Amino acid sequence: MTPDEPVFRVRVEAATLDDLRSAVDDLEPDLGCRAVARAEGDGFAIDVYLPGSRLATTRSATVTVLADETENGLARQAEVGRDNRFAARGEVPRGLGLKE
Amino acid sequence: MTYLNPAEVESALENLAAAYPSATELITCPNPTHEGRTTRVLRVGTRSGVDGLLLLGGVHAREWVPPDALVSLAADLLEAHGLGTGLVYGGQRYTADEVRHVVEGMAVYVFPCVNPDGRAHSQTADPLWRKNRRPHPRGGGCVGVDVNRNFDFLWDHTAKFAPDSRVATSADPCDRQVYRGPSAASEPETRNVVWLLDTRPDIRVLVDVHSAVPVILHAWGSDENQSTRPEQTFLDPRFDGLRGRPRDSAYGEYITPADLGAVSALSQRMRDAVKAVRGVDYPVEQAYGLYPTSGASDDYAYSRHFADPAKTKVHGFTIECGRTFQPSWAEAEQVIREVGSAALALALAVPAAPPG
Ligand SMILES: [Zn+2]
Repeated sequence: MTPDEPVFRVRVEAATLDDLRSAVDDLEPDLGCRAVARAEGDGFAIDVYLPGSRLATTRSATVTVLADETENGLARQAEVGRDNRFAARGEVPRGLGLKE
Repeated sequence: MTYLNPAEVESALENLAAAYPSATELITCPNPTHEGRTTRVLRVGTRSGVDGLLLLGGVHAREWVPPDALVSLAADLLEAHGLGTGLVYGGQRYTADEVRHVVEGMAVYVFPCVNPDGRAHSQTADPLWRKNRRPHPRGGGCVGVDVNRNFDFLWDHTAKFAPDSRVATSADPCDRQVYRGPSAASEPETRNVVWLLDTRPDIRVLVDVHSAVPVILHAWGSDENQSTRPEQTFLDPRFDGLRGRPRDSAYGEYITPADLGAVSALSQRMRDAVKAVRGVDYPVEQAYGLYPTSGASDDYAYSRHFADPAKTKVHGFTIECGRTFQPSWAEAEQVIREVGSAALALALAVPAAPPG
């Protein structure tokens, strides 16, 4: 089962937290893992996720499409282990830290 | 290298336990997932009776980097300890003494893939899948529960929060993202985490590694913190229906100045350790962000001691690592180093935190 419609990562930017909150309330997006706004320039921003059919503008905020996350994710599925690299007991994983 | 699939995560833990028997314990979680998968936790540490740090990954299926990051960290700690070396993550260096201090002076419980059913679905079918794979209660098409809304902390949001608080959870099984489940701790994935906290009272800190923002979150997620009105807590039903609004005086979640100081300091240690890797800033914030959250692991861990003073006080954190759910593997490697560095800095700082 694959998704019916592409989902885009979208940046919502507003001058105040209240403006940002009301813009997000209007858009009713997927808020990602947790709805954390960050200070950006003179205002605030949050990245959210919206299907193409619900991309919209709002009065209180700027909405910028950043990426098609469905397309990205489907492409990334090629970068997932196919079998089991650790099927043999002697295959001990190694971390990315330098041991020195 | 590529992202680990769920079977690889479990095999990786088994092989680490087999390769380093004197420094590990392989713990099998008692509750198989809806699709019948068994998950494991690797305890890294040579001694018993020491303080524990629990690291969770893979709670949200589409956040692919955290399970790989936690397997990498466990492997790094064990290999460096065995060789007697330090560990270097980009610009951040941990000495051999620090590695020994962590492996011999505390217990690091690594639970890399809490929700393997969801991860398998995200990695092979719907990449933006977030929840677990609980079948629809009446055989309908709406699958899955958000494990990070299923913990027993203010779980029943319609009763506990203000109607206009827009708490980020849902009682609708067809909510694609944040369905809270049919009851608190209904899900096997949730119950496995609860079981660990119940059976391992040495655990004093929980870090749930998610993605992406990035940011480091500490208590509370339910309402804005306040330290002057101790009667305003999640336990008091007089405040049901008032919680969760921003900038009001009717309710704020109570936290002592000492605890707020402790979690702020520990968060800052992680932020510094991340930044040293390659300069990326993970700001520190209270988990109450744009909206309140209920049923999340970090608040649940910290709340246990208030609901039952016989339980260990567990400080709960969430790291939102990286900028996207599924970065290229080259970028994922950098995020893995950032998470490893943060976790090691926290492990080194835990014994210095006030016992509370
Ligand atoms: Zn998450």
